[in-house]
Parts: sequence; structure tokens; C-alpha cells
Amino acid sequence: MNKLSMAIALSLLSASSYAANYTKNVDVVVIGSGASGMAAAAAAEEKGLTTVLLEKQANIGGSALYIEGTFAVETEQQKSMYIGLTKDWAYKNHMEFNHGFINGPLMRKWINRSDDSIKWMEEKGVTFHDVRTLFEDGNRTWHIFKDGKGVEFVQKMEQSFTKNGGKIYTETPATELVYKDEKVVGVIAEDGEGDTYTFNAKGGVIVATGGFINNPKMLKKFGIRTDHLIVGPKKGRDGDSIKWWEETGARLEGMKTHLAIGAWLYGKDPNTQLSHPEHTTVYSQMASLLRQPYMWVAKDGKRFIDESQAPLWHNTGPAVERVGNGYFAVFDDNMREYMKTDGIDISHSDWVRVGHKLDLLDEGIEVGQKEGWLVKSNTIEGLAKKMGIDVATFKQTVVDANRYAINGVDEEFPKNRKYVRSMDKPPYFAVKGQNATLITLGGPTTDTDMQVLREKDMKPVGGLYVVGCEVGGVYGDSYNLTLEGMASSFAINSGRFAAEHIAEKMKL
Amino acid sequence: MKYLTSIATAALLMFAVNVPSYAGELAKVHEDADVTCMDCHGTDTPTRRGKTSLCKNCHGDQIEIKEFQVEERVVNVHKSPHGEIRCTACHKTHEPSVLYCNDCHQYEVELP
Repeated sequence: MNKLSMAIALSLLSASSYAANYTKNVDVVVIGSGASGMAAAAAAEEKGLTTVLLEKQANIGGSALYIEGTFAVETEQQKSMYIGLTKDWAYKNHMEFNHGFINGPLMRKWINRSDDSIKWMEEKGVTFHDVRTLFEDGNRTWHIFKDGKGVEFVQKMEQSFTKNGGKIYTETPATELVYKDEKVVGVIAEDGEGDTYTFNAKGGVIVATGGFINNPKMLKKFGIRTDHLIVGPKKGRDGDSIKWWEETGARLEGMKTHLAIGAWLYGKDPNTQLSHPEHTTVYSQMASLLRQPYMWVAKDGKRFIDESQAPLWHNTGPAVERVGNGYFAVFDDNMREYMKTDGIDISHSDWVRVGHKLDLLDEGIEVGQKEGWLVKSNTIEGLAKKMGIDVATFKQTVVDANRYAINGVDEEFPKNRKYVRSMDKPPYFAVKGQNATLITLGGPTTDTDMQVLREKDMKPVGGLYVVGCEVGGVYGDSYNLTLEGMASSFAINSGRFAAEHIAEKMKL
Repeated sequence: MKYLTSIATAALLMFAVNVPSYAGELAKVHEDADVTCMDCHGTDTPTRRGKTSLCKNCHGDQIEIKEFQVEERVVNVHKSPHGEIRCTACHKTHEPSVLYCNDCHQYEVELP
């Protein structure tokens, strides 16, 4: 028995000792491979800094794969289209939109560098095919990536990074920061195959973990409701960095702010409702119904908003939250015909464009009834019952709407009269929508070099940088959709700022 | 030493319960080809996932598979545009395999 136990013990010991522990000396560790992490890594390596990029998921790209386009002003593309928006305009817009509750010097630096970053990306092979807006006569700041997706951007950053000698570790979450004498000097990580790494980072650690939208416990902790659907990755953005902010005494701000994007087909993964504008799908067309400016009804059977606010997520999101985080978009058979033959009046982002004729609408109506997010009835009473709302209240809402249509005046909300339509031709339809969100937008306060500042004295934590959507002081209470594409633009630019500061510090 | 013995025995018993059942098709193929635990896991008593580098020892760098068309693009799930994916992200061997791509996409692909 003794012999056997020795043999077993030895075999167990040898098994556990197989796990390799590597120690590597580098200049920079970037944690996370979304837009900010990819830009930081590519910029750092380009500047001659020995850099490793750690990604927790099996693939790289994070939320960046879901970017459609990115903000910039005073670009060559805009110049060629006679778009006269300026950096000064953008800065003033953002400061006013957020009532000054943001980091002014950092915002100025980001906006002033936004055009340069478009050129920088183009030099790396990233292509932009248009500059668009989501609003009628909106501000054309949104530089659309190839195919309306961030995929090419991620690929080109990866190519640049690895060509210059950078190394990517996938399925390798950073488990700990090495924090000594109030300085961050490295990172400990473990890969998917059990090897552990200690990276000593001479220049700094750039945290780009993408916030905590996939972590319901943290959402609750910071005051964000947990009944949103999630657009984009369903895992990975787990707030891995929160413990590091606590450990280093960082000052946090805007933790309650997130990028809400109003409603999607109830209970259904919003990723099914994204599409290429030239390849729309049943689900993307049906999701576009929830953006149309006709009649939105809450659980109490009443309207609650000027529906033409639909494209302004920062206005509709909170209004929808207030009525239970969901609503019904209601229309009659005339509107069904109109959306099929004349097309829709409001874009569903750039997935289904304004004017797109919903050729898959009838198919979608069948699918929706089967899947439970659409109801249909030949009477208003019948529709109300199927919607599960008070019949008398809803009937009154419809009676009122039909009067507004005849008079051309919305008596409840100041809606543009071209969107005031009647509800009088059966059958009637109601699509059930639920609010969704993309990313959290709060995090540590930084200086303009993206160094994390300490709560106690507002001085930088040595060696610690944060970039992307988990930087505090970029937003007040909501995303600023009037600077279209700003989340990815800030991510890309902040990534560059951190890398540039480390390079300068190390005098490369 | 007695204490160590009991820990070691307990560990062995636990391990015995978790010995791969070879229920999966992929496991059976490997077993029939006389592939041992060591060949994939690097140890006789596996303590972690099989290593991609060890898969490649036998299978080579790239296994050619059928491409298919999705809308405007040609898809080859062995050539991900989103970085190099470890073999075991999809090919699970001791449990049913899953197509990792479908965390985001909706491809209909059968995989071993």
C-alpha cells in the first residue's frame, strides 16, 4: 500500500508539475482585443514597444466585430463630400450634450485626433466606403467600415501588430495585475491549455477589457437594470477590471451609463436582427418595425412618446425603460402595404435603411406569430386581448390616433404631421419589443494620456492605463448619438494615446 | 504519509470516475488509432485540455474542409477571419463538439 501510495502521489505530482509557467519581459501588455485593445497593440508595436495582447475569448475582436462605422471630423472623405462639420463644432456639441459632466481636455484631444486616426487606419489597409448619418439631415460623421462591419478593422490591426512582432494570446485572461509600491509592473495570465504566464511590463499595462455588460451581478451593483437584451457578444465583457480599479484606488465615474439601443424583437437575440443593407433578412426587417414612427403603446395601453424620436436611442431608451423596458409597435393593413411598397420611413441603424421596401414582411408576420413576438387580429379589441393590455384604454388610444390622422395634428406629442397615421384598416398588427444594450460606458477617470487616476490625490497610478468603453468621463448619462460612431472612435483613439504615452515615456 | 496516501487515493478514485468514456466519435477514432492521453494532453493523467500544438503533431497545420457561401462571402471555418482559434474550441472529443463560430453566426455545419 505504501508503495502504491508513493507511486500515485508521484504521478499526481508529476502531472501538476507539467503545467508550464512562463515569465516574459515586455514593454507593454494590452488586455482585451476589441477596438481599443487592437488599436493600442498595433500602435505600441509600431512604435517599437515589445507588446503582448491578451484576449480571454477564443477569437479576437470583442465588441469591435459589431461596429458599423466610426466617428471623425475634418476627414478627407468629408471634405470630398462638402461636409463642413468641424472639430470645434463636435467639441462644443459633446460638452453641451453632456452638460459638462465629462473630461473636457480628453474629449478635445480625441476629437482633434479623430481625422488622423482615419488616415492611420487607412495606412494599415482599413477601408471606408461611405460617410453616413442615421437621421434626416443628420451630422455626417459616421465613416462606414467595409461591409458595415468592424471585421476588416480587426484583421488589419492584427496584421500590423503581428507583422511588427507582436504576439496575441487567445483564451488567455489576465488573472491578476502585479501591483507593487503603488505601481503596476506586470500581469499574470493563464491560457486555455493550462500554461501560466507572468508578463513583466516595463512600460505599462493597457486595460481594454470592454466593461461589464455581460455580468448581471455587476450591472445590479452599479445600478443598471438587468432585463436588457444584449447586442453583440454574449460573454466576455465580465468586468474583469473592476477588481483592479478597487485594488489601485482608481476614481470611478459614470458607472451607471450604458449604450442602450431601443427595442428589438421581444426575447430574441438581437444579433439575429443585424444585416447588411443589401442583404436584409426576415428578422432585421421585422426589427425595423420597432423603429417606425407610427404608434408605440406601453403595457397600460397608452402611447408614451413622440414616436418620430425612434432613431435617437438616447431619448427613446430611457422613455422605454420608464414604461417597463418594452413596448408594442402597432400598425394596420394600410401601413403593412405602405412599408412593403413604399418602404420604411426610419432606418434600423444601417442594417435596414430608410426607404427599404419590406419584401419579407408577410413572411415575418407568420414567423412572429409562431415565435410569439407578433400578434394579429381583425379587431382592435381582439388585438388588445392578444397584446395582454386593457381593451378600453387601447381602444381610446386608437380612437384618438385616428382623430389626429384626420386633423393632421398629434394632440399628445409634437410629432411631425407626416408621421401621423390612422389605424383603421384591419387586420391590425402589434410587434412586441424589448430594450437592448451594447456596452457599459463607465470606468476610471484618466488624464489625457489614458493613465488611470487615483481617487485620493487624482495622480496617475504608475504603469496603469485604461482605454475604450471602460474609460470614465467620456459620457454623462447616455451615449451621444449626435456624434455618430463616437464609441468606436474614442476606443481607437484612446488606444493610440496610451501607446504613444508609453513610447514617449520610454523615449523610443 | 497516511494522510498523503488518503489524498492520493481519493484523487485517484475521483479520477477513475472521470476517466473518459470514449463515448464521443472523435474519442473513439483516437482510441482506435492508439492515441494515448499523453499524445494530446501531454501527461498520462490529463490535467488540462489537449494542446493545439499536439493536435498539429499528427494532423498538420491545416486540415482542408469544404467551403460554403453565406451571402456575399465564402466561409471556411478552418480559416477564421477573427484570429487563430484553438482546435479544442470546437472539437471537444470527450463531450459533443460545438461550432464555436455559432456563438455569433448561424452556420449549419456538422463537425466531428
